[in-house]
Amino acid sequence: MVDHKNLDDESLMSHVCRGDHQAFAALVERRTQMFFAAAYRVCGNAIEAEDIVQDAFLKLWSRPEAFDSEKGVKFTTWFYRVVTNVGIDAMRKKKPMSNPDVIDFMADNGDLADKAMVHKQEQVALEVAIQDLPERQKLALNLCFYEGLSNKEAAEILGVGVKALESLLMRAKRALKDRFDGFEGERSASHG
Amino acid sequence: MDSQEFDDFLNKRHCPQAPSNLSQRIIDASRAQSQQKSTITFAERLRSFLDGFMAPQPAFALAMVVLLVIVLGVYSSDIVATPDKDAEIGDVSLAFYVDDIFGYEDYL
Repeated sequence: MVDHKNLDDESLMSHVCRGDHQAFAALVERRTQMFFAAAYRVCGNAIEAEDIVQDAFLKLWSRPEAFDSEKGVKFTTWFYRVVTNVGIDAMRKKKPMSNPDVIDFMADNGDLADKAMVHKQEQVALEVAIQDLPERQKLALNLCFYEGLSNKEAAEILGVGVKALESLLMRAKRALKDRFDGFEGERSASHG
Repeated sequence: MDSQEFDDFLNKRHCPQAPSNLSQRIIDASRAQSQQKSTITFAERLRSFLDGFMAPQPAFALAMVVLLVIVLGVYSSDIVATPDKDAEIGDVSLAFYVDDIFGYEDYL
């Protein structure tokens, strides 16, 4: 009897390719939180992130042979690409609307103490600003800064060269910095 | 904001935890998907395979029509008028061939 918990992701995938549902379950249990976070960072909404992760794992279960371990690609790198693509598709289908998580969050936190409120406002403003970035800049920032992938891995996932990835990352950070330098300026002016 | 302060600021980004039952929901959904797949009969598989051909995409249909025209064009080269056949068509005496056989009295 195989102990799936001791197998690495790539070995689990070879079992999944042979139709081993327990190996699939072990992989799901191990990686759901990680890819839920990745999906949330793509869409900025927890409910949609759940759907994205579920769709991505179901795609994996229906076509596990799409993962080719012989190419030497790590499972997580490959699956980031799957989750990212499912997330992008979901975002493109979605009608443009305000981010419901941000609205709920602001409504629920109206009575927080000033300092905590400022912190929460910053988080909300940051999330909105990141979601407003052009798609590829946002993905580059998510993968390199928040998921902690190497530039090479992130470039592979986005299907661009490392130089192009670095350029996307730099532009994303510059756009956010410009936006928040303005935000800081407005805040100090209103307090002063 | 300097670069380090800005990175600290970016790290304030909030990310919620996945619901505790999400893994189980995914596992259950995959099991349901497998069962659904195994109950599809051979006839249904065949029908869905054929449906792909019965209702082709417009581009595919156009490509097939073009291919058909090309194939017909190649195999029907016999009916293209050659100089010899033009000569035959131009031979006015052939137009009277029927008359030669039947004669005027047969019509009357």
